[in-house]
Formats: sequence, structure tokens, C-alpha cells
Amino acid sequence: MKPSLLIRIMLFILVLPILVLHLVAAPNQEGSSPAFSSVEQPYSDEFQDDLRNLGIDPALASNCQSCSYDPSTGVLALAPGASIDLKSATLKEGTIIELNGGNLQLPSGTLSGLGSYTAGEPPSLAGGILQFDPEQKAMTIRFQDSVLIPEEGAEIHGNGHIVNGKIFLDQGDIAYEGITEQVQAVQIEKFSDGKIHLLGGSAFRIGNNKDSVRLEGLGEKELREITLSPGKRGETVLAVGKLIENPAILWQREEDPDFLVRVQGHPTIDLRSAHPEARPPQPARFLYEGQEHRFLGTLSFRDGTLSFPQNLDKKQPQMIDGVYVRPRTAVSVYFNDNIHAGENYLALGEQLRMGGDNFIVALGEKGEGCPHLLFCYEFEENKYVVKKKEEGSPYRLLFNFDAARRQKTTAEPVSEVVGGYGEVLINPAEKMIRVSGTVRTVNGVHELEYFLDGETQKYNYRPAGCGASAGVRERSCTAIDYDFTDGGIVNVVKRTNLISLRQGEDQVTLPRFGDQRREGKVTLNREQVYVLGYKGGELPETLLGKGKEQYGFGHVGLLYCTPTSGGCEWTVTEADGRTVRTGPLEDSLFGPRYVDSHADGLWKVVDDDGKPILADKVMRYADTIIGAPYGKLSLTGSTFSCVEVVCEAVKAAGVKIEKPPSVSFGNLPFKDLGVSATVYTVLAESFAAPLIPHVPDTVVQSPNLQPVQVEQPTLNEGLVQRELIQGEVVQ
Amino acid sequence: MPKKGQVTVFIILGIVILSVGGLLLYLVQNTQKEKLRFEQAKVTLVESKAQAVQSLMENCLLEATERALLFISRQGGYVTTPEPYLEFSIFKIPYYFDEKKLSVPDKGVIERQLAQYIEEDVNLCIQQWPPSPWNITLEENPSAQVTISPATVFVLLYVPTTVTVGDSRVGLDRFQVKIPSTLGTALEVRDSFLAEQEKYPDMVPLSELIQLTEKNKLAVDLQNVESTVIYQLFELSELSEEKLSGETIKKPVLTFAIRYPWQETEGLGEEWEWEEE
Repeated sequence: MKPSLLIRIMLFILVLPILVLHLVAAPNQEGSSPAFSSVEQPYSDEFQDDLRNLGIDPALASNCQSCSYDPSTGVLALAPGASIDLKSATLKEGTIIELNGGNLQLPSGTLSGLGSYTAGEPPSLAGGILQFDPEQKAMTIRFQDSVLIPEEGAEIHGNGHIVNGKIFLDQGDIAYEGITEQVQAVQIEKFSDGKIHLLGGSAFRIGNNKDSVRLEGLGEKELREITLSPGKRGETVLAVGKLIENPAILWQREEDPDFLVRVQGHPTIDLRSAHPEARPPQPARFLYEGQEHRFLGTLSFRDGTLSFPQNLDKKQPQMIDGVYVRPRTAVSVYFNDNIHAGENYLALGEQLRMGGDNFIVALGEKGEGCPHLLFCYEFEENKYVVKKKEEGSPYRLLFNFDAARRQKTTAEPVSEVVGGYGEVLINPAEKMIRVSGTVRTVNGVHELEYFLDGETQKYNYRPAGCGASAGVRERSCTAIDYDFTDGGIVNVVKRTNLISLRQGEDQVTLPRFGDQRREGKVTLNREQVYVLGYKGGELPETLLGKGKEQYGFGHVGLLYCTPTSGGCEWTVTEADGRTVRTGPLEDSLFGPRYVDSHADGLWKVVDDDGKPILADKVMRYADTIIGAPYGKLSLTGSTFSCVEVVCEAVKAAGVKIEKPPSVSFGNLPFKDLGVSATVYTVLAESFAAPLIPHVPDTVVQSPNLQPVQVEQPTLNEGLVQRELIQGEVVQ
Repeated sequence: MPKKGQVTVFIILGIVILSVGGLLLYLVQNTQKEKLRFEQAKVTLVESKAQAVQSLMENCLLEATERALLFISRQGGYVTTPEPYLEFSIFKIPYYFDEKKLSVPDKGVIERQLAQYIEEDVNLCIQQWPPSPWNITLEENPSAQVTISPATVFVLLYVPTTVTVGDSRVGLDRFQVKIPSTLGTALEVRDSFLAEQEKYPDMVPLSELIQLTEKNKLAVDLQNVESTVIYQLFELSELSEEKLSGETIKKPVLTFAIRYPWQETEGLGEEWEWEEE
């Protein structure tokens, strides 16, 4: 015998029993030929009649030799391993099929396990395991204490009903991809991407009777989208989404008010606000221990403790009651203002207490935003830092509890990480912020870095930029008038123990403005410097002739805001003919104090790039020339004219504003005032050279002065035309 | 009888001699007294002129010292500020620190700077004295010696001066003034502050600064010009709380500047950066 033939015979001997076994086993498999089964294991005629009477073709039953039917109860009891295909069957209403480990083939699924199926409209299931495909939308059934498997890996256990494949779970457990939650009154939309998508109404609940989260404030026909997803720490994240009204139509309301959930007891769940990437982000509301709160992001509930879990995603705002947080590590949330030493926490009581490390907190104004690139969205109101609207532009308060401080020393020019735990207490009643430990704070454009040097609390200062990067502009940069304390007091607005900087705007009254001496109101920035001027006086009269002095500015002075204990006072520095003096606007030559004192023009001082210069720089200079104590000495300059006060002070701020040329008369813009060059030259030559630069009219023509409000008479056939360049004069 | 007559003659002669002698003695003594009285009057006149000169000189010295203190207080202790400095108004404020500690004038340097200023200023002052009928001669240029103490500044001015009236003359050479000033304390505060600044070169060590100034009864005012901070130390005793927060501070004890590695227009520093997952 050839070896190859021997091999073939041996293979045949091996394969033949396998084929036989396969054919024998085939009837037990789903979809196998019932004819084969019936041929091999025929049912009794009586049983076949019973099946027919129930509306079941006996040919569609398999492995049902041990099945039985009790006509007195109308119950068909399947045997373990038995199977009946009901896809095309029309069961007599009220027929009960006990599964007993057998299974029923339904139009879009299979029933198995232990339980009973009752035919009807709709049919019902008690117990049992229903595996079905919701996408086919063919399954309609009531179920009680049943297990539903709508998708591989997803399991629902409880009571409810299915309508055209849509599951309505009255009460039960739901499990999918590591999520296991007890829920009530939900419509299960789908399982996908590891998430469970639900719709919940006013009766919705997740959790048990004692510890749960419910939806509040929904109408009878209103539903909310609900998403359950697995958190990183094994918890379930609950996100409540859009409002759906009238489930029958499933149209979405145009207005989508933020949702309200009631947190009862101490459930273990994460709440996530809707639309985490929406702009502006929509805060969600929840009721907890009788109080309503707003939040954004993910808020974790664990055994009665709330926290923001770690979240490094810049795009997702995290907020609780208007307090915004970026948690590098989890931050607990309490609704009291107690100390919770040793943990990262926000304690939101009448005062706001914060402690820990590795997170950043921001406070801002409602409707405003972007105090920092990490918080670039519209803010919600908080009750801890409230500012009146008239106090100027939006404020920013930032607290960086980041222990990692990159410290450089000249002694050892290497970076090292120092720091540790920090605490902050914000007391709105006393407008006080107490800082201890390691915290970096920003109030407006002031950064205070608090840290411990051994056991000594220290703090360093630097101006905090309020700029732009990555194409995003920080918009809220104003300081709030709160005292920062750590034993000492720093108030950046009142300039207590701090570098001079001011923010905000004031509406300033010019008591007598223009030819009519009307009261004018202008809005001025506290940080900026302005120049005031009036027309008339000795100099224009000399230059232009008697009766025409009103066409030339005869006096200029500096106007800026000087911080006071009460805030900020608008101050004029001017040379009044005897000395350089500084005082309130009301007491100046532009105020009402003197018989004919008034103002005809107001300009903002800008640098060569058109940016306003800071008042502090000018104010410091003004300090040095008030009373001119150094006037006697050549070392300290000579006397100051009103023009020099303006020019020198502005120059001290780093702006290249030039005094008018002393001899180049042709450059002076007097022709604009109707004075011919010839007349002007004659006039100019009649003056002593040092007097020529002291012409206010030339100063106000400087490109470094931007008109805010100027009354500008021009000589035109003897008529005065007033031109309001900018601004509104109020009678 | 001739013996009796002789006796009488001798008696009369004796009386005459005694009378003449007495008269002569009286006349001589009286003349000497007048002469002494005249001489005494001459001395008194010169001394009074010398006292006036002394008063003028001391006044010059006092004003010069006050101006010198005012001026150097705004220029970090210098009359002539070496580079690097910040030009602020008419003053040149020295940088004491620019990422590392720079050259800082010690007390001795400042004393010499003050002395230099005072010497020049006294000279100017003397030139402005009104014309005088009597002669004032400065034998040498003024030479000042300044001593800075924590609470005072003491100046000893050496100017050999002769005041001549007629043929009388009086010499003056030393003048002194003692002015209450906390410059010495401010310098100590400055040194301690700069030591702290070295630890944190990128920020203003504010708590340390406040603690130092409060402990030494000084006030501090800071002004930033871009990335430079101008530090001005003031005497606290002159200032009420209202003045501290207001704008009436006028005379600093010491002014200096520190440049920091700040970028004014940018956002917050790297400590505020956020690393995403």
C-alpha cells in the first residue's frame, strides 16, 4: 500500500465521527432545521395539538420533548434547552410560557433564562433574560424583574417596558462598560462609546431611595438628556443635557434653561454640567442639603463629600457658585467656611476659604471674563467679591495654589522648587483677603507671591501682565479694593504698601467748560494723564491782540488721579505764575474758585505709539517740582512755566513730547489761529527769547495730546465757531 | 623864728608837691582808662562782625546740608550718579540691582558725596553774601567732613576765615551743624533689603521691605517704570496714616532703583502656565 493512500484512509477514519457528531448536534443549534429535529425526536400528537392551539407551529419547537402544557392554567412550560421560534407565531393572548432554561425566539430577540412570557398586547415578561436588537425597533414588551441585553456588554435589570425597541426602565439597574447604577424612570436611548445615553423626566432618579440624584423642575412632558459615562476612578459621571419637550414629537425647546438636579443623601456619582465645551458655558444647578448651587464641569459626590476631580483640560471650565477652579489634583468642595486643613478644598460659606496646593482659582464679574488665559470665558457671579458697576472695568482675582515655584537666586542661579500648602480666606463683609502659606495671588495687575521662609510668612511682589498670547486677549485686569493681609496689609487700589498703580474710570466734572462756562462731564481713566487748557489771558492777548485772546490757549496744566485713602482724587499740577502747585481740580485755575477760571480743552497724553501714558510716572515727577525746593540751584533746574510743567512731566514718563522750539518761529502753528506770519514774527521778536517756548497753544497741537473735549473757536470774519471735537458737554 | 618859718615853708611845699603828684597820677590813670576803653570797643566791634560772619556761614552750611541731603536722597546717595542709572525727571537714580547686586555706595562714599555737595554749595552761598564795609577773607576753600549716624547727620566745615575791621581782625575756621536725619537708618534698611533681594531677584521682596521699614520707623513708596521699580524711603514720624496713603509725601530719605526681568505687556509668568494631558 502506498503511504499516501494509507494517510487518506486514516484521515477518513478520523473525520467521519466528527461529521456524524456534528449532524447529531445540529438540531440543538439556533436556526437548525426543525424537520431534522422532528424526524429524530417527534412530539406527541397531544402536545403538538396544544402547540397549535396556542398558535405555535410544532415544527418551530425544538428540543421540546420535555416541554409540557397545562390547559387548566394555560401555561406552556419549556424544558431546559428547549427552543420555540415565535418570530412568525401569533400566540393566543394570555398564553404564558415558562422559560425554565429554554428559550423563545422573538421577532428581534431571544428570551432565555428563568421567567415567564405572557402573550398579549403588549406581551409581558417576568424574570428571564431578553436579548434583543433595539435598532430593529421590533420589540415591544413589558418586563418585570427581567434582564435586558440590548447590546453586547450592556445589561439592564429591572421593571419597565420596551416600545418598538425603545427601553423605558421604571426602576432597575443598568450596567455597561464598568458602569453599574441604579436608576428610575429613564428612557434608554443607546449604549455607545462606553456611554449610556438616557432621557429622564421629573421622576428620574439615579441611586437608591436614600442616596440619589434627581431631576427637578421638569414639566410632565419634559425630558432631559442624560449621559452616564465611566470616570477615571471607577465612578460614574452623570451629565445632564438638553431639554426635550413633548417626547411624542421630540422637538427641542428653543430656550434651554440650565437644569436643576436634587442631590439627596450621599450618593456616589459625578455630576457633569451640560455642554462642557459650549461658549459661553452653561452652568448647571443642583439642590444639595436644601441649598441651590451652580456649577460647571464635573462635580464628584462621594459619601457626602463634593469635589472637583483632577482636570487638566484647558477648555473645560470648572466652577462652583461663581468660583472657578483649575484642579491639577482633586479639590474638595464644602458649603461652609470651616478650615479643612491638610486637603485641597474650597469652602463656600459666608466667607470663601480655600486651601491646598496644585490648583488655581479665579474670581471675576458676571458677564465679564477672561481674567487669564486659563479662564477665558464669561464668568458667573460670586458672592465673595462684589464690585459696583460704576467702579470701572472688570476685576480679576486669581489664586494659584501651585506648590511648584521656580525660584532663581543670584547666589545660586538654578531653579528650585519650593512651596507647599497655602490658605486663603476672603471676607466680603470686611473686604479682606487673608493669605498664608504658599499661594500666588493676582489682583488686577498686581501679583503677590506668598510663601514660607522657614516659619516666617513672606510675600514678594511684581506687576502682573495682562496681555495676550495664543491670540487670546485677557479682558479683565482691574484690581479690587480688598486688603490682602498676612499680618501686614497690602491694598493695591489704595496703594497701601504697594507700587502705585490705579485702574478704573471716573466721570469727572469740569465745572466751567468753554466760552459759556457750562458744566461738562467727561469719563476719564484713572491710570491715564490728561492736559487741561484754557483760552485767553495775558499771553494770547499779547500775541493776538486785545480782544482776540480767546483764540489762543493761555494756560495748560496736568490732570491726573492721585490715590487717596478714599479712592482717587482728580488733581491738577500747574504753574500758576508764582509757583508750581498741585491740588484738587476744583481749586485749580480750571475750577470755579477764581472769578474767570475755566477750561476750554481736555486732552489725553499718549506716547509716540498712541498708547496712553501712566499717571504714576507723571505724578512722581510732579512731586519733585511742587514748590520747587531746588529752584535756587542750577543742579535742580530753574523756574517752571505752565508749559514746562506739562512738557517736563510728560517727558519724565518717557514720552518724547517736545517743548516748542525756542527760535524756529515758522514752526509754530499760529497761522491756524489767523495770525499772519509777519504779525507773528513781529510779535515774537518783541518777546524775550525764553518766553517764546512758553506758549500753551503750541503744546496742545502736539501729536502726543489726543483731544478728549476741546472747544475750538476759530477766527472767521470775527465770528467764533465752536467745534466740539469729541465728547458731550452736559448743560 | 627862722626855724619855725622854715618848717612852715617845707609843709607848704610838701602839700604842693603832693597835690601836683596826685593830680599827675590822676591824669595819667584817666588817660590809660580811656585808652583801654577805646581798645575794648574796637575788639567788640570786630567780634560782632565775626559773629555775624559765623552766623552767615552756619546758615549757609545748614541750607547746604539740607539741600545736599534732599538732592542725594533722590539720587541714591550720589551727587554725581555713576552708571547704570535711571533718568527720572532731572535726577539720575542709581540702579542698585539688576538681576544681581550692583555697585552700591556705602556710608563712607555717601558722606564724601555729601561733603562735596556741601563744599560747592557753601561756596555759592558765600558768593551771594551782601557787600560788606569790612573785609572777610577766606584763606582756603571750604572743606567739609560729614558723619552719618542713624538719626543725625553731622557736618564739620573747615573754612579759615579772617574778618578785618580797620586794623582789627578776627579769625574763624570751624563751623558745624547737626541735622536730624534718618539717612543712616535708611542705609541700614537698604542693605538688609538688598540682601533679601538677592534671594528673590525676580520680584520685590515686599514683606521684608515693609517689615524693615516699619521696624526702623520708615515708610516706603514704590513706583514702577516699566521693569524698573523706584524705591523711596521716608521718615515715618513726619507722616500720618492719611499722608501715607495720600499724595503728600515729598521728601524721601533715600531713593534708588532696581531693574527686574519683567515683561510689561505679556501675560502672567510661567508659574501660571498649564500643562494639559
